[in-house]
Amino acid sequence: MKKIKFDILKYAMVLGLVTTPFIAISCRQELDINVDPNNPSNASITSLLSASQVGLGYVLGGEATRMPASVMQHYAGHRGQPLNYARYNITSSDTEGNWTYLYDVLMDLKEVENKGTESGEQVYVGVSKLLQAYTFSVLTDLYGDIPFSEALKSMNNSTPAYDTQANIYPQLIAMVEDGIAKVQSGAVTLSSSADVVYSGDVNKWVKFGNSLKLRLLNHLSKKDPSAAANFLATNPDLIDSYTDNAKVPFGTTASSANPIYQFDKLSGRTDQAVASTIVDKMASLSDPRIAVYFEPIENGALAGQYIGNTPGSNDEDSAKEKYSRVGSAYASISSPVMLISAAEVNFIKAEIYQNAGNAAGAQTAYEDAITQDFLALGLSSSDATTYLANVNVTFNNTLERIMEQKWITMFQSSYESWVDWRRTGFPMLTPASNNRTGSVIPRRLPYPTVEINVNGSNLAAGPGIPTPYVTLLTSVWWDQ
Amino acid sequence: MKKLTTSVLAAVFSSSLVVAQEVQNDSTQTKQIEEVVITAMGIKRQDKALGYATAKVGGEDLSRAGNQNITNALGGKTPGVQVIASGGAPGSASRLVIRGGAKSLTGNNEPLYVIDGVPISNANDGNYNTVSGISSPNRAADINPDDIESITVLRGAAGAVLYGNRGSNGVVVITTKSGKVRGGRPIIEFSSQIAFDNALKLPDYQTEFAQGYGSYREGTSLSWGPRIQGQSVYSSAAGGNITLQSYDPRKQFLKTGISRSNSISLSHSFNKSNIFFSAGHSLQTSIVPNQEYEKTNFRFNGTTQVTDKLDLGASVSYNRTNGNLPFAGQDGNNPIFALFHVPVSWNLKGNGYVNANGRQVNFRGGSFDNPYWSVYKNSATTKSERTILGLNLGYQFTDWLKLSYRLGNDKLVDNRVIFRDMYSGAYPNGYLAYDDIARNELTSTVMLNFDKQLTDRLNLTAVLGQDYNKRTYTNTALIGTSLSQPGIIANYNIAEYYTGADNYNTSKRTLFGAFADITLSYSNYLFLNLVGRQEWSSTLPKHNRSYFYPGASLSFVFTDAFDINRNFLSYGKVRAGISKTARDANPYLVYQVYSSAKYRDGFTAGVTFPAVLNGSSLTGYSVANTARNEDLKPEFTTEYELGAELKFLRNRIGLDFTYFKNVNTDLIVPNLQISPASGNRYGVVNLGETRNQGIEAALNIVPVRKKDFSWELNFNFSKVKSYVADIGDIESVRLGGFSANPAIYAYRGERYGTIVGTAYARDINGNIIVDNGYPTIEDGVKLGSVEPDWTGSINSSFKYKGVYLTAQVDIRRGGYIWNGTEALLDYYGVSAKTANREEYIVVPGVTSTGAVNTTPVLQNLDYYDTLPDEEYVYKNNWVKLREITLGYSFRPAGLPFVRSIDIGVYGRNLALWTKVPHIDPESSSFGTGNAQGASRFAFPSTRSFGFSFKVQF
Repeated sequence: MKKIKFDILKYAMVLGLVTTPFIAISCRQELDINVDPNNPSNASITSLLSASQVGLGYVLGGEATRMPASVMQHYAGHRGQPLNYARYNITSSDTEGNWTYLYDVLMDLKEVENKGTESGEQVYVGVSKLLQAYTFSVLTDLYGDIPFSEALKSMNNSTPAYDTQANIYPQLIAMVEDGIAKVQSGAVTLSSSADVVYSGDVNKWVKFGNSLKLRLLNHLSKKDPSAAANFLATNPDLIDSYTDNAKVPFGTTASSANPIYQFDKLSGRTDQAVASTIVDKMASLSDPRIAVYFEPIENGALAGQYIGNTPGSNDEDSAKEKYSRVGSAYASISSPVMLISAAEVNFIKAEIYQNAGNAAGAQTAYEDAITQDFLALGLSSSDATTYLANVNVTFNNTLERIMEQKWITMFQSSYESWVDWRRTGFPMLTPASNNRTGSVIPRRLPYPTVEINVNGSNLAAGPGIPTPYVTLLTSVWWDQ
Repeated sequence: MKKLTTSVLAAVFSSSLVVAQEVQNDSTQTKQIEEVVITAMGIKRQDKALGYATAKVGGEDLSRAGNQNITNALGGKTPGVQVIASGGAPGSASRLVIRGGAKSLTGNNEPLYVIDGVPISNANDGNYNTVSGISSPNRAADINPDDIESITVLRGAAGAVLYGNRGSNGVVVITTKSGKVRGGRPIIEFSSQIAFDNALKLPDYQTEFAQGYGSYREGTSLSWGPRIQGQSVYSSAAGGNITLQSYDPRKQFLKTGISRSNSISLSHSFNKSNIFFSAGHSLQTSIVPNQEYEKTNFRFNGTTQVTDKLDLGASVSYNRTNGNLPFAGQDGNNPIFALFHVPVSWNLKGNGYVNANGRQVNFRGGSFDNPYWSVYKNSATTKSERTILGLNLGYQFTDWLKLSYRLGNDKLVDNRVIFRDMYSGAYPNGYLAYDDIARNELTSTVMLNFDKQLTDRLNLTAVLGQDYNKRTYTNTALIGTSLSQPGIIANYNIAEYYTGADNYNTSKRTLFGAFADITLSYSNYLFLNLVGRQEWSSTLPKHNRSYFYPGASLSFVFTDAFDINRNFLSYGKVRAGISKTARDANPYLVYQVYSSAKYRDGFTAGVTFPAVLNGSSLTGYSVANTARNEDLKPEFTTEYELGAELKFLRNRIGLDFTYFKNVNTDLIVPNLQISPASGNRYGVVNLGETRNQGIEAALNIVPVRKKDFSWELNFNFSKVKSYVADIGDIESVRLGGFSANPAIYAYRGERYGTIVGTAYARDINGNIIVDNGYPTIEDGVKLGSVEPDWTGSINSSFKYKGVYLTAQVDIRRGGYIWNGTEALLDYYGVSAKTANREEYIVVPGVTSTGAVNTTPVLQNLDYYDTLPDEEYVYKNNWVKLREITLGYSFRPAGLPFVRSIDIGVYGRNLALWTKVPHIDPESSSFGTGNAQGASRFAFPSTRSFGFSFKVQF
């Protein structure tokens, strides 16, 4: 028995030596290793602000534009999804990206708000609120009722209920007003490098806020026709010069490129084209912007010409021999994406004055709008004068003329043209050929698949589960 | 020998990379090898002592039909195991699940693979849960099938309780050859196989209509063009006029793949030592041009009895693979995607793929390339190296007490190069990524083994142990998003580098365990087994990371207990078990983080921060898409099983029957899809409950057993019914699929895995609502469960003297599959049935007013465009003739140094009977993860004919 004990001791020591490095490690230390080394646990308010601004620009220029641009006949794809959109074949699957990315941006903006509120950096909170109001408005204008008051609460509410657009709009206006006040609060300066839209110029943010408020009140033209006029009568400080245009810049590398450039040039899809509707209209007006709006046909017998595809036409052109693409002003690698421009603000003013019977005010605003757009695009004011002298461009005291020119000017902000068309009926559009909706032009986007799948009960309790090719023909609240 | 082992030891320790070898537990009283089962932790147990279901497959059965991936080879060999290949390309991954694989909602449901007691990685780094990716292997395929002595499949949670965690989905316990030979003379074995592979099933095509829409047109995937009548048309891709005629592009492109494998091994026993050495090589060329997969294996296993009390074992395996693999699924360079819809009017081979100025001859346009371009200009290559080391020490204190220690390490490095040449459809500026994956898994286990006869009748075996497991993973990628010159796969050819922070990703996790396994046996016919494990995991929050789970089972060999007529009932055992197991989470699901900002959409690569904007370089962070959970808990499984093993008529008939049921709670869902309006896309949650129950049966019949002639039949049958009992206050959890639909979801109250997509819109009477003659559709509809009602297999084996003939038939009944291949072939107008495009159809249904539809519509693109996913969902029933082998084994006269020669022919996947058109339904296009039940341009499975030769000296 003694012998055995001795052996046990001896070999236990040997084995102990072998196993010690592995079992004697501090258990606790080895277990406390679950902090993610691949992602930061904290992020600065400036890095969140830059990211959310660029994110907003990217989605607006890309997903949020493609479908409205197809409806508004700015674009007319010849194959694939762009062709489907042009034919109003827009499904819940198609609208999921746009929905998701816009809420992603909102969450980042919300984080700027949260951090700024905590640290007292009210100016950041203000900019965040202005951009949140902007983003929410794009969402509700596209989809109608959306999650708003219960949105952006992360896992505290993973299935937020839908608010009606009628309830959302006043809150957006309040959010803008709150944002303007906070931007003006002087609580800290805004980083000039992190604020890629206005390089930290808070006065411009105030103009942005007022211009956005004017835009949103003008959206209510069917519901509250005097709201925008009343606000305009207070002489708010607006974006009235193109140098104050709110735009998101892009870079010169593939991973910082403009969204249209990425879609048309980098993705290799080649299925997008511009619509004959806008190209033909601009050609008939000898609009000099045609050269920067569109890219001439690249190859073949028609090379050098500006030609658009007929909306709904399935006429394959991957060889780029038949149709123009979006041009240098909006689709070069570093083209900025416009949020609100002096041109748009002046068109809004023109519409308000026109509706109020103030023809002189409307004419001035109309001419300013076109001139500001020309200047923003690098054309001269004399180019604008020449253009305005064209008998089919000259102010003629009709809303139709104003809205037609606005539709041309808003080529890169088609979601806004879609709002205008729904409110005013201008420009008059001929439905696309081979469309999926019995030749009725859509008035909204259907809710995305993800909402049907994971937030279905709230969707059903609110605006209802969308019916394919039917729901998109119905009107949102301000369109009723 | 002592010197040798010391140096092995030194080498092993200096690199601190070690693994293990099975425990030499010679105290087990074994008469026949079949009666011994290697259970958890490499412990050998008598089969009759086990209170839970296991099945053993011999190495010979796995390798005889030339299958290089052991995961595939296991299909149909035992009940309760289901194998689905993601595709038929050489080197592509397969998914193996036990008992349905529906315990975890979105976590890994595949079993743990253990080789000679060492847990190893079975990761699929190519297309685990994705609709694209590359067809790289599940890593268990690295193992050389010729090295395998046997595989034991532990089906239940009970058998695996000692492995903790990953073992709760079952364990595939692989035992390699030990080198043990009788008679002191070494055995040298050489084996060689060659096989010829062709696509088992290809779609059916129309041959009458050309590319285009109305008129002849290129740059489109549509074949809704004119009738092919020998007319002359202008082709911009061909660069001139062509005469329309009908080709067979599939036949032009596909070729016969050749699989060759050779292996040699040496087994030797001397001086109380056994050594086994093997080298193996296999090379498989694909049925598509320019792709192949090569595998080289070396293995050394050695055990030695150093003293009467001390034994040592060491094993080293080295594996190297080289592959040129297909892009998978929806990738624009999946050669099958592009090939399957090539219009019959296009002379694919004749027109070439590169034109005079180096650009692609692309008749199709868009982001899908000419299939020749995809395989000759673009490539996904993999070069992997893997070393699995094991070290075992055993010390027998007394005849009843033994201490053993095992150290194992599995190290894998996979260097992948993804190249898309300039002028590729989706990558006009080219793309090059050096994408390296390194995995390491270290396991240390120390065990104290008791085996003591307490009284005449009462015996106690017990294992007390402690283990430690550490797994690390690193993915490093150097990515070029545009190239300077075409055709050069080199770092210096990158014109622009991707700068995102996600080009480096690393993770580390640790797990500590302490366990006990106690068996009390009474008279060697009644066995009570009690197990328990305490575990600490690094992946859970501190307050939830320590947990315990127990198990108990009972085995009663009543034929030994009672006096029963052995001539009729030769053996009878009943067993019952209950066990609880837990699974921890993946690393980094607990603490909230931000992520480097990246804004992209479904069509573009997007903007990645840091980015240079307005002339300055900006950092940008955003709220992570996934909300993590600081209260995460482990998920638990409680499994019950009852079983019986009966042998009749002197083992001529054997029946092994098991009923099981498991309840899984607090399921960890790391990516619960939530409303994006919440500001996050996914949440990490513990959610709900799943329940599975089923039966597994194996029937073995030996109709003939004579000296020279025997015939043996094996029937395997499994029926599993899963049930998603609860998923909190939501309706469904997304398992995988397209970003929108169709996708696979787990729905509350349904079986696990439901196809969700578009369906015909119907009125309350179930009539399809027709609009202008076309059916109307709705989205987000449940289209059927993907789970089979039952699966089975029949194995037959004849032996007459040295001649043997074996066959295996696999059967699956029930469940559904979405045939995305057919959907797109119809839409493109290339499938055979679209030849009737000039005929009208009156869609049966009613108009919005309720009137019966009478409006005829042409069966053209507009018609097929309206068909919902529902139209392409099929019952996933099939029967497959999986294997046939015919061979002759003999000892050649006059060659005394030759022990035996075996020559044979074999066939694999010889025939398929199914009503699912165009495809082999046994395929998956959403990867090898939990989202099964969808096939859309999956790589066709292959039919192989081969010859084998084996000689033993």
